[in-house]
Amino acid sequence: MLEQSDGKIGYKEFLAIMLLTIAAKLVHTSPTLFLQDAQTAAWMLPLMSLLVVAAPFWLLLSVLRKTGKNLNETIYYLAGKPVGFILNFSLFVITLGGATLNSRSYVDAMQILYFPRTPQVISYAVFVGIAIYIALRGWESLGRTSTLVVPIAGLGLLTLLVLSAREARPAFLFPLLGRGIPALATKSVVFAATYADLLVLTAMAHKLRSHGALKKGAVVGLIVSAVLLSLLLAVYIMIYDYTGATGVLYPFLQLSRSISLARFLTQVEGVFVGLWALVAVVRTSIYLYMTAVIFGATFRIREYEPLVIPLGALSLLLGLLPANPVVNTMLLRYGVLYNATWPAIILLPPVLWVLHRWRCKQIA
Amino acid sequence: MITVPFTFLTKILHKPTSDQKGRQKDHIQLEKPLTGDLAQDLEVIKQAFHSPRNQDLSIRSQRYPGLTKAIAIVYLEAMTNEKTISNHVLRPLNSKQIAGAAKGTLDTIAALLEIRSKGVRTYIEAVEQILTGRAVLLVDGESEALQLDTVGFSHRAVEKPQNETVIKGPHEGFVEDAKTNRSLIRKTVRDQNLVNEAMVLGKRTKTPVQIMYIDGVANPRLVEQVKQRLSDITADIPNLSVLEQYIEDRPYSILPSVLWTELPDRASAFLREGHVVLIDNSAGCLIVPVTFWSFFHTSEDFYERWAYANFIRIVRFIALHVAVFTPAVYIAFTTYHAEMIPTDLLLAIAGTREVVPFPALVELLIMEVAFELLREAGVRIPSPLGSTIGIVGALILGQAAVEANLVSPILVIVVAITGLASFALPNVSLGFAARLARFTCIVFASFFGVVGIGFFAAVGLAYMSTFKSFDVPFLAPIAPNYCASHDMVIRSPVWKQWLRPFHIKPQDQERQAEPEPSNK
Repeated sequence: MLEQSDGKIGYKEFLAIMLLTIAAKLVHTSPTLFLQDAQTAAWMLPLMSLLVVAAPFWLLLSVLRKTGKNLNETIYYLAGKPVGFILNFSLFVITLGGATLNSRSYVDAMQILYFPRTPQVISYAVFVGIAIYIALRGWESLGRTSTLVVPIAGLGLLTLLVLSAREARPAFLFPLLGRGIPALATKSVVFAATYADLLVLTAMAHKLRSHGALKKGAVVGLIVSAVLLSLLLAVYIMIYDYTGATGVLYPFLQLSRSISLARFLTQVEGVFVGLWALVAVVRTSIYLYMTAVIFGATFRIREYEPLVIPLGALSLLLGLLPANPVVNTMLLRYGVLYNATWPAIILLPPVLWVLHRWRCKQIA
Repeated sequence: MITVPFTFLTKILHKPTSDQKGRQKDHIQLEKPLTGDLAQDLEVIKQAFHSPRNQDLSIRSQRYPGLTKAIAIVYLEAMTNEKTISNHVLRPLNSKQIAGAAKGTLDTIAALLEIRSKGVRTYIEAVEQILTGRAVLLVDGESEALQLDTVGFSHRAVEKPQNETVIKGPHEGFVEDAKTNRSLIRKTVRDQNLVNEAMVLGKRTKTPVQIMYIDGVANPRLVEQVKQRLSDITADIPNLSVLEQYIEDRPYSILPSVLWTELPDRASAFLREGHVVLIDNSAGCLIVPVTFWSFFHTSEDFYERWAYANFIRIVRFIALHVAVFTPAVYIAFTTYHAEMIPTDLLLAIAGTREVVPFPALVELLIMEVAFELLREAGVRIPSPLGSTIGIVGALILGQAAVEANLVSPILVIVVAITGLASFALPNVSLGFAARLARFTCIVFASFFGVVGIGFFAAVGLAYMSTFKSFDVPFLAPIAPNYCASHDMVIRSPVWKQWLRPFHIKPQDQERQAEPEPSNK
């Protein structure tokens, strides 16, 4: 054997996965949620939320560095078996919920905009099927695929921004603070859930080449994602105004429809739709894979990769339940998922950190 | 007690047939050492070759005045150069005189011959040597024989390669002779560390394969792995094209994991990077391990100047994407995203498609299949009839199909451009992969339009990212990221390429000294 593959990924791959999971949030429904509450100041939310999550994540990373384990193992190690199981299982439920709501919102967008006559079950099954195929190729493959997808997607995004610049009106950003600082502050706590993906990804902390890769990937990934999210939100507001943008369900796809390349090519949407599909399916496969990882870690299953298939099927069945995109986005994503996630991000790391200190003292 | 009938049964079931028995007996006899009794030794070898039934085995046995003992020279007529035997073996034996008691020992005979010789101790060795085209010289009373280097196959002279043509650079190609091929490589790699190890493959037919690598550059574990895969082969290997299918990583994949090239300069370049090259009597060689870029590059990319080389590479990169995606994009746009096509063009397409009774997909498949037929026929057709292909292709398929309202003119353009692009791909395997991928992409696009193409790209990238050739990731050094000189779609100037690619784990990682920034 020339090189025995250790199944681990490095900083670049991890960063790519971070960007695909967090920064790519803005190409599906999430922006509507931001806009609804913060209005013209929505673009500040990602940056403020980043400040909110900075301390918890710092604590989390330092605990992980000291224990040298992944998130789920650390939870079991510090909280003991029964409590650890409850915590891990709730993490699994949140991840599965996130994966399901995401894939559903992608399939909704596909259906509403392009394939209105295709039965939803079929397009959903194809979508999840492809995501399962990609996820089954393993963690290394996800890292490598992400490193290939991120530059392509970044190029597409840049083109879109440049082409849509003509339509942007900076005046729409005012009043700068929207509904005022108190409203923003409360929202920024709820929207800490935007960065929940890092918490989920630390379940694979042991499959990174070093703790440095995790730390660097996390820091750079969070900052770049926050800046991108904020930039794209600002662009949406500048183009549609906040009232308009709140009503647009798929602002990215809508934006790609409104731009044109000179007079001859008045519609270049197809290119962006292709990129969107590419990002969507890879992103879904990352979520499905992480669901399997956390499920495996919770129930201590060593061979967790094949679990992607049953969990993907489960996610497909659950995803068919919401009656329509509005229920999916407004009620389930915002009402349930976000409100279940932000306490987890803000509370879990300090709890782990305290437990770790207490444990160290006990041993000493 | 109970086991007795069972053992009896198994004996009956596994009773060897008389044919098998005979073969086993032969084999056991061949494993034995030479006896030294000339007549008996000759008899065993004759039996092994079914002589005198088999006309090809030649035995020249006679006494020579200078020698005290009888000798015999055994060889296969069609594989040896008889001139060499008569000039460099028989003549010296006839004319030269030896004095003293040493007359007729193996060493003295070997010293007489004007040809390279080596000792052989068993029948099987002797038979193997005869099979490779060497002559075996047996001496009465000696339990060792001499193998004489008299190999003489007929083969072409070194010619221009048929499939890999270059404008600038060497025009020599490998021929169907291992020795010539090796000399072609040695001509460009003047390195005492260039090692050539020989291995004999196969149980029945013995195929010699040469493993070439530069010691100190190629990773020893890689060499070991190549040897391991070769030694696992028990089947008969007629040539390298079949060997390729025995040693590749994933036999069912559409992606190739071994590179076949006809160019000695290309093989040398790979040797210098730390790859392993396999050579036998085939008009080409196999290179392992490979990455996507090995198939994408040509030797000319390094001979042209920086700007020109990168220009042709970008063209080729576009060609690859055109070859895979164009028909799918046509289907996606005309079927699902008609608004993407500029209005005037859309109206023009709609106008020409109005009279065509088929949906775009059927139309496309008719044309694609026709094109593939044309291509295959073009390869198989005897060359005097070659011009008919052009007439059939251009007139009947291009013009008449449009006039008969079978296909629309725009589609002819789409298929023609796709075909042209696939011809621009430098490697046959990559071309096949692109053609197969194209049909897969058409299926995705016909179901889900541009979204389907996005899905196809995702699946393709994920698949390629895990594909490996001898443990080297196919998309290295991009994914996973490895240190290497910049040489993928765009290459840096040759003097800046001072690093060997790290993904093949070369022992010596630097090609040359790091150029100083102020140097150029």
